[in-house]
Amino acid sequence: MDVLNLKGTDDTPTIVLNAEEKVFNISGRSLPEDAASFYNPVLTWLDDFATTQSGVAMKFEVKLEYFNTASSKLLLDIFSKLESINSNNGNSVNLEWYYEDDDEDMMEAGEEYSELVELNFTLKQY
Amino acid sequence: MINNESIIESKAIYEFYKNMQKENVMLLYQGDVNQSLLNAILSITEGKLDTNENGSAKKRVLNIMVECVQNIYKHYEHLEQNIKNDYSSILMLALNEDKYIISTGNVIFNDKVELIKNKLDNVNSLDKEGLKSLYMEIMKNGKISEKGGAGLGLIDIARKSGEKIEYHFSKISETYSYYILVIKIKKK
Repeated sequence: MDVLNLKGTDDTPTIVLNAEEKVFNISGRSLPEDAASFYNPVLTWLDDFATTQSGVAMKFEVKLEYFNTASSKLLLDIFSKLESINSNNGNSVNLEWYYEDDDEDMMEAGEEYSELVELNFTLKQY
Repeated sequence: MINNESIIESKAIYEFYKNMQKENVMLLYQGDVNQSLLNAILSITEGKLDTNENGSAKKRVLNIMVECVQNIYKHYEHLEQNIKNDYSSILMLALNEDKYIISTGNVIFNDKVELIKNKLDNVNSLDKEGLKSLYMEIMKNGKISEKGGAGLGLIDIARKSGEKIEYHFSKISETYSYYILVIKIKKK
């Protein structure tokens, strides 16, 4: 399937979704005003993945420096997609949520997402 | 202090500067607010905070600035050009002893005042746990409003600030008010 490769900017994250290479990650800053439009290709890609791929052990990495509240709901939408991928077609998902060692807010945000979705959530300090 | 002198007279500028310095104003912006301004403001603020600030306080200041700026332009896109020209927005970051103070000002419609005031009073009535519950509740069930936000902005600001949000509305006309927010963030 197609590779989704979005280069990061001052206010949008770098996103790589590559099923062949098994690389799935979002990193950088997510501060777009219109987060719904920005994340739409990601949600579409995940829908596509859900219907075409099987038996993939997905390690989905999220390593954000900042995200705005407009992005927070879209991140939840992404994680909800991962939740449904996780229980179908022999696919499994492990979500790795990175936070900088002195960034307690980012750590708490990871904990909160782990309460909102049924996914294997690993919090990783860097 | 200014004695009828225009603020752009050289002596008045010096007085203006001294006042800013006295209040430890780190950044003051007046004008149009948009996404490219946000990026500029973030990089200036980051530079100013870099030297001796711990990561959490710095990130909270930057996160709150983002929410404030995006909050302002959500209100602004519905305004007519003449009111935007007459009443531009302000954004200020200052340091008062152990706290950063972020202040914003922008025009809103009078018919939004009650709604915003209620949201602010609600957020201010909640403690840390209460704010978390409200945040989680909206994340689970909240619909994205027609203004693009899920009502999460003020809640997030209150959570990151850890203090009550101060606000003030000044009526400009039968249609508009000027809306001031003051947010404090503890240095640690």
